[in-house]
Amino acid sequence: MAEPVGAALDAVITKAQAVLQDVTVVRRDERPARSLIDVEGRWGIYRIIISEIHVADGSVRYAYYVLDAENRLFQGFDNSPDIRASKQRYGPDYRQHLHERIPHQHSSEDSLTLTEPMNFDAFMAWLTSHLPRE
Amino acid sequence: MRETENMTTVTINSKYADILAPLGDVQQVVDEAVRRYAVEKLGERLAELRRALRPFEEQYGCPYEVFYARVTTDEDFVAGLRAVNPTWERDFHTWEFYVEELREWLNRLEQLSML
Repeated sequence: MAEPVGAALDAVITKAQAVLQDVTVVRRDERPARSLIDVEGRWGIYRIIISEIHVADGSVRYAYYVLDAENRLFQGFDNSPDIRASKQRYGPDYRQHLHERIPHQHSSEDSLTLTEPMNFDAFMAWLTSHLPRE
Repeated sequence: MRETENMTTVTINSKYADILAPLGDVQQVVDEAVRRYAVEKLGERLAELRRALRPFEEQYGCPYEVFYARVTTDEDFVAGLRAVNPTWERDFHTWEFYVEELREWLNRLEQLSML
């Protein structure tokens, strides 16, 4: 049996509080067909944003960000239907896949790299392995 | 609550039934009362969702459908978004969340209008 969505949102908050500093829940909205959680916190000098939408079909739309002290993007992961991700994955056939949600990563130079689907745990693992907490 | 095909039976306080009886067929009166209540509640929900959508429409200067079309088809637009808002995908997902909710409630309203 699938985990109740409320529990999944609670888990995101609990995990964020265990790992990040100054955690705040910016938005939480639970409805029968979809639920949303939006959390911010700090990791050393970095501002961390965690945004997940859990849909009744089991899919999760996500955006995880690391912003620097000037609020510029340092690293971001999301699965929005970004045209640049479609082009990278499908090349000349990208027009047939324009609305697909494609997991990808943005760097501070806004270069885009395709990734495996991310979740909160994978994002925290990335954070731990790539950025000193200081 | 008891369900049969196309009908669900709910009980109402007998005092309401006594009051409603002089107004005509109690079933019809209750159906009309439920319909009016549903329209009112749907209206409240739709207004709440439209309020939730407004900040995104104002921030990005367009309705969701236009924004969606641009991020999925216009590479220059997407490239410029980051400079304006480094976390635009979060807004996009949240915006979409409320748009999908709105569409579902509009669909319910349409179903209600066909009863």
